[in-house]
Amino acid sequence: MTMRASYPIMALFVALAALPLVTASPYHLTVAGLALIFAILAQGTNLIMGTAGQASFAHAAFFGLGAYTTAVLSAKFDFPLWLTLPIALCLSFVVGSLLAYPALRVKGFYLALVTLAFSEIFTSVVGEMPGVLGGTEGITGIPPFSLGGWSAESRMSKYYIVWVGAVLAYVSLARLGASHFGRVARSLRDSETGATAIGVNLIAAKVRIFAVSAVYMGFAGFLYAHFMQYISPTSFGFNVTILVVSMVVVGGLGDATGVLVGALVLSLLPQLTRDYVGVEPVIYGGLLIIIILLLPEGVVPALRSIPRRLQRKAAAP
Amino acid sequence: MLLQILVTGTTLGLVYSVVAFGFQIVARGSNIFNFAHGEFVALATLIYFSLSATFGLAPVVAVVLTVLAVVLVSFVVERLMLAPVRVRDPLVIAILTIGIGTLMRGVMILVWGHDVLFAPPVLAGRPFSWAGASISRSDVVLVATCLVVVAALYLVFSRTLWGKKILAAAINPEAARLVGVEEGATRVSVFLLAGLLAGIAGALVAPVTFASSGSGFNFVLKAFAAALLGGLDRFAGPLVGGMVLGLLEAFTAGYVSSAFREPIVLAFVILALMLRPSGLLGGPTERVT
Repeated sequence: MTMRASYPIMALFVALAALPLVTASPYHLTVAGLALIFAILAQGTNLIMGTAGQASFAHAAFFGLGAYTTAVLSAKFDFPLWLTLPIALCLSFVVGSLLAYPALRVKGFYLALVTLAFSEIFTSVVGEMPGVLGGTEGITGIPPFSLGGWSAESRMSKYYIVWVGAVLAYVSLARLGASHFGRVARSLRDSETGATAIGVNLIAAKVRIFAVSAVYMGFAGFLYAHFMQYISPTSFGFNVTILVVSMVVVGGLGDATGVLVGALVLSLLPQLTRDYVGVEPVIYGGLLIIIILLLPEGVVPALRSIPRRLQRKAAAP
Repeated sequence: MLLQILVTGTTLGLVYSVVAFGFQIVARGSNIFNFAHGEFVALATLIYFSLSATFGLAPVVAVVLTVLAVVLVSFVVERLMLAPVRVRDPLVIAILTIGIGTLMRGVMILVWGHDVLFAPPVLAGRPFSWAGASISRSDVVLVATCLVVVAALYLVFSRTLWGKKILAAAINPEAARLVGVEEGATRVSVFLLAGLLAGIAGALVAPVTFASSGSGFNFVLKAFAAALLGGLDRFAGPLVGGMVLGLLEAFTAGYVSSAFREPIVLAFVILALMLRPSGLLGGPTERVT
């Protein structure tokens, strides 16, 4: 959460920026671009689940909302990017705030159910609307990123735009976490009663956290739509929520660096196993089980505590 | 038409209820929200399919063996993957069960593939029909078994020491420990009971609908919704919640829209929980704000 942790991440981002120098393969760039998009999703999820401790399972729906808004406006109505991006982000913000209202009524697993139901409603409604929303077939022919007369036709230019988006998301979330907003969010996780006692406006705080995390996921959806140029409801189902939640938990719930590492590592995993149907869920599920049983706080926080443990061992006689 | 919808809705509702009881008992007895619960039901449908269609066992034998197999799997899962967990945060444990569910689905895909499989009926013969509505013999077995299961659960929790121990652990874990209710034992027993319920529901639903490695998510979503909709801390919660969901689903499909029945049912669940945050049977709760 603090800036102390950001040096390894900066190195990671620089390495990712250098990737096109090593490989020009569109396949490699697509995989890396998707990993960056999922890193944004995982960080938005970490904000609401890890930092604020809210059991929200609607991440995939907000991701889909951003992607569908972008796709429908640009592919079906020829809206320019400088209009679609703000519209997609505003819509995510509004729907995110609306979903916060159930969160004021219900807590814990009741909230999990409400958000999960919301997410399922989103995918099944989109799947049943063949017209503008494309139904189960999805939407094809989404234009690449374009601004003014310029458009990102090559895989490499699209990759760099996604890279810039991921860096912006990381930097802004790190600053948010260190700000008053971040402290209020953490106070909700630790004790709602305590937070109220020291003067936190619970309603305003929850609405803001839901809305802000929805904006990040909507932004990821915007990038996804222009990057892949094709979307369908299956890309935004519960399996995506599982994937993103796994990234957060494997990396370290509440640990910004860990979440980013978890997202990048777990995005690459399906590429290694994609030739074997059924192996992927076995690996994901198995990994999630092993990590929660052995390193419940996540891989990166566990790695970080090694030097401290060694010191303690050296200090002890 | 109306009668047929009532029959379909009741059947569906009873299946959801039995699955939801398994979800609720584990949630209350051990504070674990078991998102893998639906995969146990899916596993039961597939085992029943293999035993009855592939190995040609008599339906009754196949049902009994299926239930035993699912109970065994749930025992192994509890001992191997849930008992050793060191964290207390219910959210992290819920994510652990998502991992278990994902692993189970992967194994089912490896063994049975993605196909939707149709299992032979539990009870062959012409369907019963009355006043334009018809019900297959397998459906009748399903409905009767579900009713017996619900009655048995009621007796277990109201009459036996074992059931009362679980209730005690659910209502006040601290006090239950003080009077000698062992936490580990409660956890194993609720998980086995949930496995038993998932096994029965899956084995009997396979011939009525189908068997598939992909059906687990729908079962757990409905069980989760039914248990919370009815009221997690009331015995009859899953029954009421399950019946409401089943009937609503059948009526929406029959009178409103078959395509939009899922979103309509789920929107109803959200609305109902916002109006009654602790479920239809639950008492008033403190507002979060």
